[in-house]
Order: sequence, then structure tokens, then C-alpha cells
Amino acid sequence: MRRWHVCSEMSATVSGSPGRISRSFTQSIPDMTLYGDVGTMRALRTAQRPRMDIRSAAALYFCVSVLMKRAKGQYLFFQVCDHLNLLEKDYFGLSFKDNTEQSCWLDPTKDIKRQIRNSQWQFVFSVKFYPPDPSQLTEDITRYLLCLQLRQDIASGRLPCSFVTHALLGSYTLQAELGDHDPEEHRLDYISDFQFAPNQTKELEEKVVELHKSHRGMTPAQADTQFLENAKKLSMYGVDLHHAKDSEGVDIMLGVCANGLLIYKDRLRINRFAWPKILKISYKRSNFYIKIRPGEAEQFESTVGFKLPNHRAAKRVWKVCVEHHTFFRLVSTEQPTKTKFLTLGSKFRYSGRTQAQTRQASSLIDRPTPYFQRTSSKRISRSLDGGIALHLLCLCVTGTLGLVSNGSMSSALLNETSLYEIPVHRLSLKLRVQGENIYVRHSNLMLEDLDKTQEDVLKHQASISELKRSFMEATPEPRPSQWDKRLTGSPATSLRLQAHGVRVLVLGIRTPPQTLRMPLSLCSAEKLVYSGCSFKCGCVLSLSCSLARYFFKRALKCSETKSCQAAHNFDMASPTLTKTVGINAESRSCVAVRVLRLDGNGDGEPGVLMTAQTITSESLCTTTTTHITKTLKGGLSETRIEKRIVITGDSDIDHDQALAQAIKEAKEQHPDMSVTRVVVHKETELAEDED
Amino acid sequence: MAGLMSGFGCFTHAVVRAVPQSLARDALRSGGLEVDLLKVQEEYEEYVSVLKHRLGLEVLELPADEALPDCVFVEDAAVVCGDTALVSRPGAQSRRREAVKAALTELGLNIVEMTDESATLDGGDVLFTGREFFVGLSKRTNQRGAEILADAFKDYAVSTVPVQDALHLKSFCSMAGPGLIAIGSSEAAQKALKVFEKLKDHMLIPVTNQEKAKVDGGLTCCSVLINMKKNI
Repeated sequence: MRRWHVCSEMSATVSGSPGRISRSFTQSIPDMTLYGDVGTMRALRTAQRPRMDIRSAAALYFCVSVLMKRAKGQYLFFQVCDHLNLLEKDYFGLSFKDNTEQSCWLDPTKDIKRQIRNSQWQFVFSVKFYPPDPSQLTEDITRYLLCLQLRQDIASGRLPCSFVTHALLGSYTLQAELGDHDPEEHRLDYISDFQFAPNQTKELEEKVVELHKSHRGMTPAQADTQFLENAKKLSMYGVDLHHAKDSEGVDIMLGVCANGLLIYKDRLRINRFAWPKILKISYKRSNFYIKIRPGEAEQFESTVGFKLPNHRAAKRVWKVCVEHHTFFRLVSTEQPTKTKFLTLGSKFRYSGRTQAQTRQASSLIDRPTPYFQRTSSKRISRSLDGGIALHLLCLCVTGTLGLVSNGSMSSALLNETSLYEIPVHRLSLKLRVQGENIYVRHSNLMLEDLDKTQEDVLKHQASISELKRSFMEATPEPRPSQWDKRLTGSPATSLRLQAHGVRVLVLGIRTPPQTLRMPLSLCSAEKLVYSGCSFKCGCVLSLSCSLARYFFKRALKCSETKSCQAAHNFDMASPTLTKTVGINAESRSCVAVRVLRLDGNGDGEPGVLMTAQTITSESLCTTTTTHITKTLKGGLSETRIEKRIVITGDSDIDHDQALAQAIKEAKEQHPDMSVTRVVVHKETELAEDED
Repeated sequence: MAGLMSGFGCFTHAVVRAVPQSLARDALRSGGLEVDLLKVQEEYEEYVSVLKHRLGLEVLELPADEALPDCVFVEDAAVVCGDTALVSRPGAQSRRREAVKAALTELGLNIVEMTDESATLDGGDVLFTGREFFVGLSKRTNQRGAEILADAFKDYAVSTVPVQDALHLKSFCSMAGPGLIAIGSSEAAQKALKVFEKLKDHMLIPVTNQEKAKVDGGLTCCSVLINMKKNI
């Protein structure tokens, strides 16, 4: 399967190839970066989502927030599609690698957590059903996404084609990405960032350029259409391959496509079973069977059997066949299946819309063509990973519930989210104090080393008690309204008040599982707001690119180590509010670290705002805040401690280093907190006069 | 790109080769019939005339080579699709030197040579439908030859069809139009038909052969069809 990564900043890991076919094909897919445009957002100032900048390159990066325990695959998928502004979703899907490194599609009807189990939370947005006639897709953006996928398929070798085809498709890619060939701007090396074929020769590049020149005047949408017109004719277009053996034990490949089942031996197609010819498909143990309609001269049906490497593989092939058959052949999924397919064991059915249905729905799409930018992000993908390849994306971090029950956890989160939630499109030019998002400054920062052992956990508990003590000793802060005044008047804040644009962080996940809130995008030049959820302990970090990567990995580890098991008591006082602060200047990055800790048991009252501290140095201003909330629900109470560090500075600050330093200091103080959330944003062009 | 974009069945050039005198006596054949050389010559001239004047193709006539009695059947020597020509390695030993490589190179095609000594392929076993290739596995063409063809034409699927009791796949079938295969009524044809049936829904029209059939020649054997239109 292929991978998409939305928001290059958030690339965390590079995934290897799922290797579904014998050749070493990598399933990574084109790069798409999702970010907004500050200027546009400012101009719009309405509830419009940020414009999407889709970059085509090696991989599409995607960053997704942590999901509630019971979130179903469809939720995540729809959120992704939303981010991408994609309406014709039915051709796509999310895939992940299971613990045997096999790619699996995320079933939209089932809980994500149940499907992921012990695997890494890394999802790839890819094409699931390749439309045989892409020109019938309603929107250009759908075609564009399909192109990105195919570029990847071709570059990785998954979709073989001749030299001339590589060159032709490559030339359409260039025309779409770069526009008309410009002899001045486009000298021979301008295309070295692109990969048109698994083995790219100089000769190929020259041919691509030659063809590129001939497409003068073609719009990107037209170039995409031409690309697809040619790609769709390739014999392996849309063919999903699986290793198998025939009934005589000879190695073959099973290919599932829109038209039916194809059997390949070496490079030759030795058999084809069109869907109308197939009466029944089934699997049993590690064998896969198809029952074929009798030919004209024959009396009886015949059954062909294939041996798959294992039971899971057999089931996988079967599922893929069911899905393809349903999608491409049936008008609706309500059709009675007993005449067509009998199942041995699995009641699995394709749950989505069929092509007929999606086409019908697509014909009703009546919106202006969504604008999206195409830029080559080869550079980005390279810089993120150091290599040409394809990256991966979507990282979800999840914590475990641990000692508290679901119900109380939910309500705790509910409380939290209600405190921090901000609609993303409420951009404001002024620093706005909103009840939900005031960050209180605090001196202590707790970060957990994620590789804690059992004794470390105990130490962690001890240090939490310490923290508790120190909290209790600190002077409780006054009520929110007074805080507001204090904050707006404080010198530290005033530094930031030169900025306009409110950065919005949406944190936390809500509760009921179905209404999982997903990350909302911010509107700055490069950003991604990623909100994660930690049930036990967590830390939200707003980071710049490379550090984000690091923390993603850490966050992931945290969920795996499940080291945050402790429950603690805290006395709580009144609820507190936090406030977002604008950050100054064009190229400043806001680095915010927010640490969240959840604990069980205790007594009492809602959260309290503790102390805040600002440390200012010459070029750097660091502010850490702590917010402690305690909620009581259903007999159980949870305590949450959040730490937030905001580092602001001049444009030439080394944010990564500053953050690393802050983290380090924090860890020294409280080596127990764990990072489970990462948010990246970068403020640009913020306004004056916040007060 | 010529291969995928050109209309199926449209050609601009044809490569043919004159009839050698030695054909009458030495050409490979399955039957033992006498061949009237004059008649062969007449048929050939009529054929070329149709290609030139009726169909408007540019015909490249190669000279006969007396040492190669089967050289008139140029189809077996190469497979051309789009702008790529695969110079094949005929299954019959006596035909190995029937190279048309020079002529094809002159026409500006990309040449792929079949150098693998374990591979044999006669062009007469290769049926291109416009969307895919069918390669007949016969006495003259083997699996390895089919694989090399698949490598040469990566855009297309290549399927194999067993050919028994006939010389070539195209001895009993050919393309009669887009999506239309004409297939004979012989037993060999019917066997292959079953395979085609499985793979495609094609209409079938029976055809017959004439004098050249005595030396196992079919209509398609006598030319190599090339589409030079709008070549990239």
C-alpha cells in the first residue's frame, strides 16, 4: 500500500516497504504537505479551512492525532479526507502494517485500536480502487491525488512501464508541477529532484525534458488528465498483487483488479478470470479457491485453487477480491450475496460505497474547484529523511487507560477539552483572551523519559508526590479574570503582543468515542496542529520539524511502554483558564511544550491554576505553565497536570536547540513525564497592538 | 506515445521481403505439396500492391536472399509495437539469419534484440490486440521467448496460448479489428479458442488460406506492419 504524509514537518519515521509483491516495490507514495496560507487566512477571516498546499514528491505526510479508544477507522479516514479537501473519498483508504509487516487496509467499520493491536500507529493514505476511467472522476483534486499515487507506484517499480511511457508520464508530471518549460529556469538538473522510474538514466531525463517542451500551454489539470489517460492503459494499472502457488506448487502471482482476477507466472499472464466468470470465491486455511462458470462446451463448473503463504494471506486475498468485486461490479452493497458468494468463516463484506454509488454521488458535487497548490517537495522529503524515498506518515499516538475507568476518563477529557477547545478558524488579529485557552505559566516542567523501567516508575511516582507537594506549597493563583489582566499586562506577554494571529491549539480528545475531535489546522505558513490524547500521561509539544520527528517517536514509545501507571492525589482548587499567546514576527517559531498528566483517585474539586514563571534571556523567552485539573466523576477522580513551555525568540533562534534545552531542563527536574503529543506550529506575520 | 496512444490497427509502413527462388524447393513445410513459384510471385506482387496502393502504406521492400528460402515471411523475424522493435530469434534453425534489423533501425525504431540462446520466438506466434499480447507457445516459440517479449513491451500484459497442431498462433487466427479476433475452424484453432474465450470476449470470423498455406504461410506472415505516425 502506499503512504501519504500530510504536513512534511511532522514526518516521524520512515516506513519500509510493505512488499506485497515479489519485486522490491516500496509502497510509499507521493508527498503531500498540508499547510495553510497565512495571507489567505488573514484575508478570509472566516470559517474557511486553510488552503491546502499539496506537494508532490516522494511521500505524502500525514499527521493525525491520537484517537479515543473506541474510534472507528472511518472517523480517522474522514478526517484525513477533510484535511485534503477530498470529496470523492471512496477510491481511497488508510493502510497500516500489521505485526507481520504486511499491509492491511484499515477497516472503517471497526475500532482502530482493535485493528492496530500491537502494531505501530502509522497509517498511509492511499488509493484502494484505481478507477478504470479517471476522466470520469468529478474533481481535479481527486485526479491529482490519483496521479500522486501513480507517480509513486511507477517510481517504485510497482507499476512497470516502458522507457517511452516513463518519459511521457514524467513529462506530464513536470507540466503539472512546473508549468510550461522555461529554457532559462529549467536547465537539465531541474528535474533531478523528480523520480520518473525506478532506474532513472540521463537518457530518460533528456527524453522527459524533450516531451515536457511539447506540452506548452497545458494546464496542470489537463496534464494530470493526460497522465492518467496513459497510465490507465498500463497492464498493471490497478492490479493488486499477491504471492501464491498454483495447485501444482508453482510460484505465481495473483492479481486482483477492477476486471477480475489475473494469474501471472514470471512476467507472463497465464490466466485471467473476469468477474462475470467467477461464481464463488472462498478461502480455507491457507488456500484460496475460485469457482468458475462452465464454458460453452463444458457442463460443469470448475474450481481453481491457490496456495497462499498462510491463513492470513489467504483471507487477505479473499477480502481484496470481495471488495474489488463489490466496488466495481455491484450497483449497491445491499445486493444479496448468497447467490454470489458463500463464505467460509468470515462475514466480511465491503462496507463502503460501490463505484456506481460514488459516481452518482460525485455527479452531485457542486462546489467550485478546490484550489490547491502543487509544489515539488522532493527536497522536503529528502531533507526529512535523507533519502529519496518515501515516507510515511500518519502517526497516531495513543495512551492506555490504565487505572481509571473509561467513563471517568471520558469525563475527565470532556472537562479538559471544554477548557481548551477553540474553533480553528477563529482567527483573530488581536491577542484574544479566550476562556478556553489561557496558558498559565509555571515553573515546573515534567517530562518523562520514555524508557522507564519498573523501578523508574516507582521513582516517578515519588517525584510526582514531590511535585504535588511543591504545588501545594506554591501560592495559589487568583481567579481567571484576574489572571487575564495579569497576563495581558505582564512584560513577558507584552513581548508577544507584537504579534497578531492567534495560535490555536486544540488539545485533548472528546468523549463520546464517535465524536472524536481531530486536529484542526492552523493557519500559518507551515503548520500542523496536531492534537493528541493521552489517557495516562502526556506531553504536548509544539515543535519545529526535526524535533517533531523526534518527539513523535518518543510519543509512540510512550504508548508502548505504558509506563505511566501511577495514580496520585492532588488537592485541587478552582478551575483555571489558559490563554493563547501570539508570537512575534515572521519567522518565529513558537515552541510550546505542554505536559499532561493524568492520575487517578483523590478527592475533590476541579482544577487549580498554579504558578507561572517566565525566564527571559537575551534572545529567548521561555515560559512554562502548569495547569492542574482534578475532576471527580462516578466515584473516581483524576488529576491532570499539564505543563506548557513556550519559547519565543527572534527569527534566528535555533528553536530546536532551545526546545531541546528546555526539555532537558524539565527532565532533570521531573524525569517522569512522558511525551505523548506533539504540536507544531510556526507563527508568521503577527500583528501589532495586542492589548 | 505511439504505443498507447495510436489507434489500433493504423499503420504507416510495411516491411516486406521478396520471394527467393529457393522457396519452392527449400522452404519449410509440413505438407509435401508442389509449389508453383510463379504463382507465389504473383501473389506476392498483388499483396505488395494492395499494401502500397489500396492501403497507402509506405512499403519497404527487402531483397530476397537465396540462402534463406523462408525469408519472404518477414513477420517471424521481428515484432514491432509502437516505436519498439523486438528482433526475434526464430525457432527454426534455418531461419535464424533472417535479420531485418538493419531495415528497422533505418526506420528509427528502438531495437531490442533477443540474444538469449534459450529463447525462441517467431513473430507469427505473437498476436497484439491493441491492449495486450498473446503469444502462442508452439514448436517455434517458447516460454523464454514470451518472457523476453514481455520485458520488451512492459506497458502491455503478455498472455500465453498453447499452440498445437499448427505452426503458429496466427496460422489460425488474427485481429480483424479492434477487439475482434478472427479465428479458424480447425481443431487447433478450436483448442486455442478455448483459451481466448477465457481471456477475452471476442467475435470470431473464420478465414481460409491459399497457396502459401502449402508452405504453411498465412496472410500475416508476409509483412511486418509498423505505425510510424506521430512517433515520439
